[in-house]
Amino acid sequence: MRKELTSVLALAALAGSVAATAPAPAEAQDCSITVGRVVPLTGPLLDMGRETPWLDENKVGPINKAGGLAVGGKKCKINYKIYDSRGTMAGSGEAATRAILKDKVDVVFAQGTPDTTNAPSDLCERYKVPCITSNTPVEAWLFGPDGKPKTYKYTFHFFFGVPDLVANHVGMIKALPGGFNGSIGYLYPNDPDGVVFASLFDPTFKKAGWKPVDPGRFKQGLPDFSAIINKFKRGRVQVVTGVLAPPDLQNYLQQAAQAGFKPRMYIIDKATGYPEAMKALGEFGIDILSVNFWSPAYPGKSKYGGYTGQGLVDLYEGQNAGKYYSPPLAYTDASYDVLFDAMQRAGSTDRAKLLAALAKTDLETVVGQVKFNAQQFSVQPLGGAQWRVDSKTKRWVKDNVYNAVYPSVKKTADMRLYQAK
Amino acid sequence: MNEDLYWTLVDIANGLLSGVMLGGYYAIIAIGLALTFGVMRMVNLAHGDMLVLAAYLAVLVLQFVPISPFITLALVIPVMFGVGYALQRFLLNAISVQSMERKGMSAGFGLMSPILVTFGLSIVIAHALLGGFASDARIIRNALSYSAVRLTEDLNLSTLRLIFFVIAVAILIALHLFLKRTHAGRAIRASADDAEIAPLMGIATPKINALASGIAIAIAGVAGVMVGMSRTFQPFDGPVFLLVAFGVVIVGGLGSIVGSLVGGILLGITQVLAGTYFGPSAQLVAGYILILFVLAVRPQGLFARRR
Repeated sequence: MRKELTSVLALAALAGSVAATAPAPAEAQDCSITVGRVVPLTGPLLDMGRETPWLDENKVGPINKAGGLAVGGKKCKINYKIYDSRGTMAGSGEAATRAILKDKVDVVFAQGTPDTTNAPSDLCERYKVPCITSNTPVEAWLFGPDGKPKTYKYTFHFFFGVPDLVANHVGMIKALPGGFNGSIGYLYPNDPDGVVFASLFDPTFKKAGWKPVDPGRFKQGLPDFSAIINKFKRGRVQVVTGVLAPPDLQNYLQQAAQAGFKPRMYIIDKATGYPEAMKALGEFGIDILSVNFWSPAYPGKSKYGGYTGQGLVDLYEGQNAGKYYSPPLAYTDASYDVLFDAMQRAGSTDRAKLLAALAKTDLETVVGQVKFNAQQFSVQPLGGAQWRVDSKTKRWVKDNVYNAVYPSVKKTADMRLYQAK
Repeated sequence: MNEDLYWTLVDIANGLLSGVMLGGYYAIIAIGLALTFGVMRMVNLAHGDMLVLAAYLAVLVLQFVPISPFITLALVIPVMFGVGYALQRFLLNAISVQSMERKGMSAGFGLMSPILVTFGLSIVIAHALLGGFASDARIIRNALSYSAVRLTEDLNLSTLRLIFFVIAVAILIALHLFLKRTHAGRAIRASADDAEIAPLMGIATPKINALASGIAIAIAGVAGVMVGMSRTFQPFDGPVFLLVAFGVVIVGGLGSIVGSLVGGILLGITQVLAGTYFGPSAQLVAGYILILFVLAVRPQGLFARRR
């Protein structure tokens, strides 16, 4: 189908150039750019690739149909190729290598956790290929294994930053309706996310004067949470916070419900980022709080799509009945906008000019204003998310219930206490 | 009562109770493997994937007919029995020690081949499930997963795990009686004990092996549905359950069906108590230490008979 479409487009382009013979007949064919998209399509991070290839088709299709993107007096055809990162460091490295060396793409996009953004970023630096990455907290992309910030020359990144995340979570706890007794329970597993979160949040919570109940780091796939839950009960814990994978969250919530333990607030990241996982969790997932790393509440409009975040979501959910949008939809849309904008400002697809233009990006997108700093990243807004099931449509809805850190992200509902029966 | 004393008692009681219940859950995962690995002396590395396959089968059934997950067993058990029977009859029998020797290859091939073949099968099943269902985390919805039998304010038994425990005990008794009292059961043990002599006694070993494998996979199917009711699962989760099953079989003892219940319970209690007193990170480690300990002190397992 896509092949047919491209050949039809090529024919149309050819016909157009023949008809327009006079000044620059061959120019329409001259300019084209190929984007290599490294996306987790299979494996543990599959939820972060669900917008593919709908978004690509929808973004690039209309532009190509109109003859291409106007770049320096030419019409530039946009091609994209999709590479499966399999959600692993090795898989994303392989995918990016194939894109750069074998298929010689002009630009690389990579998205979705350090496992799929960092290897492509490093490869782009090595082979001097422009690269745009997103959906990985800025610090996880910026800092190398030695703990020092890397110097990027070819890769540009945009997503939320860790200091904002900490401020957001502390703010949410302070806003706990009905006050907080200061007793906070930890669910930080012994994996990279758990260890990093514990080291970030533990000192901050203590500084806020709260008393942590920390059962310690535990291995993913822990079969029995009863001892932890008894510790929480004994410490009269009112807020439980952590970063858990979906099976662990499911297992924990079941055992907490069985033990009759009900804190006033849950702030759990990772498992709560994507609607598919929440659906599997069922009613005990309702009212769990987490970071909101994108929802239609975000400010901004797409320059090339003309829609707001809500408009994009309506388009996607309208054309894919029964499916849910997920945040990478917006970040990929913004990545294309950033590229198109840089191409137009560069007036050329020349690599050096494109890089110079990318560095000067200051563009409104559906994920807010993207403006790269000297270290080539842009910190995007975030908010506090809370899940509920809409009583009419029976669909899962992510409300933005806390926006003190970025007031530009609209508040769509008031924060609720954890209610599960 | 003094609050510290109260919580000490709660911790111990909870360790024992939750441990025993966890043991029933482990036993149900392990029984199928105890039968193939323990009785038939064949390592089925796809055991865990069979569990996951059965769980997906139940999900599929429930998509079309909204019934109680327990009723899906009426379909899952015969289907999984068929899978196990066919697997043994048409694949594994062809690479057994005897058939390898018949083809003029060393017996070593016959010991290795099932391991390699079932390893391959494990990968094929996981990828087929990924292709068919994508990698969404699934769970078999049921009304019981969040409910519990409350004993006191701070002591409770998960209703599901209690049911699993009862089912595990029922399956164990049935299987024990089947192996000891029926002709087919005796034939299974006979072909496992001596695959050369059994046919001379009029036992159709290929069919008997297929029957045993069918039963093992059918029980794995029951385990899969139970597991799917209590936690989320994904196509690549098989090896997790395989590891649990191996642990239980090692502790309980090769060839002992009853051993899988005792092994499971010991493993469960060790894990919960270690988790209570040494922090949750000690929970799984303690289980592995128990396995190593049993291997060092009594390598045949607690309940195995010496041969």
